[in-house]
Amino acid sequence: MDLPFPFGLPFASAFYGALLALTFTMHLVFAQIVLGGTAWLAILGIKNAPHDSVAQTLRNWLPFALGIAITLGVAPLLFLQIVDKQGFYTAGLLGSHRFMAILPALIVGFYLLYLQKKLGNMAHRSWRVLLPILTLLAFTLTGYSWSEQHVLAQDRDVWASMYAASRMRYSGAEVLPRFLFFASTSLPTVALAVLLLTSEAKRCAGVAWIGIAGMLVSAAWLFGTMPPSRLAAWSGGNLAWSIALAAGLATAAAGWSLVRFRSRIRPALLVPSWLVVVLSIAALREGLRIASLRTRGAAREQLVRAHERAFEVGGFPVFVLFALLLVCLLAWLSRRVARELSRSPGA
Amino acid sequence: MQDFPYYPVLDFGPAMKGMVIGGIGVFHVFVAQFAIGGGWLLCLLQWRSWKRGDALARRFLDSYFRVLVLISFVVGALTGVGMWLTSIQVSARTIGMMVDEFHWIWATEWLFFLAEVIAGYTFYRYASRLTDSTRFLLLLVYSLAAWGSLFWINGILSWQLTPGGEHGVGSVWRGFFNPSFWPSLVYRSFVSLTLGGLAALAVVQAMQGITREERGHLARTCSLVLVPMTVMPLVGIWYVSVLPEDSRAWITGGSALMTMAFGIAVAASSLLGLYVVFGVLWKRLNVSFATAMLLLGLAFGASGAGELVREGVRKPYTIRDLLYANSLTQDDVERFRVLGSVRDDPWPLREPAPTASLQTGHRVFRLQCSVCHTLNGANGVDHLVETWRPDQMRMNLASLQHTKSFMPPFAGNATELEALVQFLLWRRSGEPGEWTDTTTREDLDKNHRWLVEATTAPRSLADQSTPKQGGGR
Ligand code: HEM
Repeated sequence: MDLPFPFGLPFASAFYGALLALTFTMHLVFAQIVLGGTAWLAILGIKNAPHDSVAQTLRNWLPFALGIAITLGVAPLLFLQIVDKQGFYTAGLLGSHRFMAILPALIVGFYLLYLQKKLGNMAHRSWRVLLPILTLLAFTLTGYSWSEQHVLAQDRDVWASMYAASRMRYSGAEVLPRFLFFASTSLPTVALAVLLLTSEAKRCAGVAWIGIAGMLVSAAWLFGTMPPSRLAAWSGGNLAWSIALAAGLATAAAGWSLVRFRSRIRPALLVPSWLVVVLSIAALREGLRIASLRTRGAAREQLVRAHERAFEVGGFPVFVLFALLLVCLLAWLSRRVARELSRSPGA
Repeated sequence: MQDFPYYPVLDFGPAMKGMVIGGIGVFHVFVAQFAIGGGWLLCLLQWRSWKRGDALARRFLDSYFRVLVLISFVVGALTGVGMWLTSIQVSARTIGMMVDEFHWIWATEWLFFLAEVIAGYTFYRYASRLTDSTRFLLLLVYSLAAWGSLFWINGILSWQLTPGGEHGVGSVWRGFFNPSFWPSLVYRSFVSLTLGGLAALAVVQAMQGITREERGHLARTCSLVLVPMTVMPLVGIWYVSVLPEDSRAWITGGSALMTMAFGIAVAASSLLGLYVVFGVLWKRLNVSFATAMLLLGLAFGASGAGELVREGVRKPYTIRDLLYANSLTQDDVERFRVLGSVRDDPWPLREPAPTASLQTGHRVFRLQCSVCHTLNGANGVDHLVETWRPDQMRMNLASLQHTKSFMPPFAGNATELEALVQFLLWRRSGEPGEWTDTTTREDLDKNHRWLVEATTAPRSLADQSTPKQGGGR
């Protein structure tokens, strides 16, 4: 597979892989807003800035962002079960209760976010520090668990020994830097969201810069932990996506510099470049997932056959029909709501 | 042969796997149905506020909606994901087959879920600044989308019980609109209305700052969505009438647990229906908070028992005619009768027994039995075979589906059967560090003969057919 993902794959595999990457991108954007937003809120809590406009914006919007992140997580969860059934199921079974702990963690995280929204700046100082830190812990556990699960799904050599030892925690060297990479990426993502909602341009740029630096450091660390066989996957099509990622990152960095030093906000530059970054990450993940099967001919063959079988199943036109209807309905409703809001007294 | 997907088999200690999924399942269904029924009630209230200027209905609506969003959006969604992850823990192959067959249905359901969340959040944030008609529209989209998710998922879940038609290419819609689709949809829709209405009654009673009359007025409005509950017994009869005969037999005396659960579901829903019609709507009784909670508890019991019945009557399958409860297909059973079932099992044993044959027995137990039995906890196989003599054990295990018809046929050869027997005998002897296998040629021959006599067909089919498949060594 030397062409960039999803090209060069058998059609069914490319189709489901692309759907997974696209829906994952949507999920990732909101998951990152939640993760990065909670981290930012925790820092603001420690700095004791109750009336801070960023803190207020975050408190106001994060419960909604979490609801959307969860909802958007369901679609990649579905397509993942077609793309890599065996890897996902096996990793889920091995991680067992450890992996399932993300569910209570998310429920607790949601109610803590809601509590912060309700309390607003009325909360006592200690609560303003403690609540976001606890929330951050819940979302960190969630994000980390997904990274752990993703790497474990591909590390087939450890499966049997992990099972035999009843070990639910997978401690592959890649997991931590990988998660830190995603955590760093979440800072520019939330900075962009806050930038679009407030006028705090300079602070957003600062946060975005920290995130971009974190991405570079954690990526370097991640490469350092990879065995040569995994590094070899970084060629051909995957290299192309890496270049797209680097280009998106460089453009975003330039955009944030304009924001920081010239106070010029250019959503038309920042939003697409960041989308390129997130989309490249998603595509690269899939390209690397496929590359991890390169040496396992039988497993790969089986997977391709499974994708082909899935592709023969009916129902796709109905999905497309309802997707179009949904888009039209939401567009119509949002126009109507926006019109009424602009006329209402609270506008 | 390597096409058989061996997944790691988990051990939940003394708990049966079904208990784990059942617990989350009942809770999730309860919350999800509450959200659906609640949505329709909100539409009714908004309609009254819009068309009849009912200010009280509007006040109530706004506070009830917050409860609905706070509980259902996140807890409902996450317990739904929880159901998915737990199903994987219990039977990855079942959920895998369902995803393969119905992923576009699931993807469509997800679109409805998305619409529900977006309409719901928009209402939550902006309703106070919107006109009555837009508020109504948003609630209508919310309710239709929530009920739509039920519509889609109902097709997949009812397919497990009555798949109808051929499995394979092009069968999605035949499978989706399967024989139990409509009764099951009506049943679930009515349960949803009931849960939404009862929860609303509790909120009405907990509301501050309204008079007794206002409370009574609101309670009667909320009770309107409870009316369909009264025809629940008829829906129950319809549902039972489309069940396959053997499934029906479980709830009519074939299994004590299933019969009891079915009885609880019928009795609790009838009681609820009667109370609503005679007490609330006709006699206009004032429903106190405690009574509302009690009724909600009754509804929880009814819906829990209903779900238990739905899960239970599928036995010995998880997907009728396609996949046995232990994740084996009929083809697997026939193949494994010849080749053995654990020869290629790549998963090591966590506590290996002293001999290779005992280890084989343990693996056979893990693959074929452990989904419904523990070793010595709930439904523990140690206790069940406690009094069986070795030959009795051989015969009963060889003809598993005849021993109890909610078990699948044994899917191994004579040697694996013997290994399982030895493993159970070894456990009965207190798991000694050394074990001398006393199996004779004659024992294996007996195993072989009993396997042949039992055939590979499941009980209901086996009853009608003459033995057709050979067992192997
Ligand atoms: C705030 C909550 C969440 C956060 C911060 C979060 C974060 C993440 C991150 C960082 C990844 C990438 C992991 C990696 O590639 O190393 C990921 C993947 C994923 N997440 Fe989430 N997530 C959250 C909630 C959820 C929920 C609730 C679901 C399911 C409904 C979900 C479904 C997925 C899926 C399916 C993947 C792809 C896994 C794979 O391809 O191996 N996430 N998530």
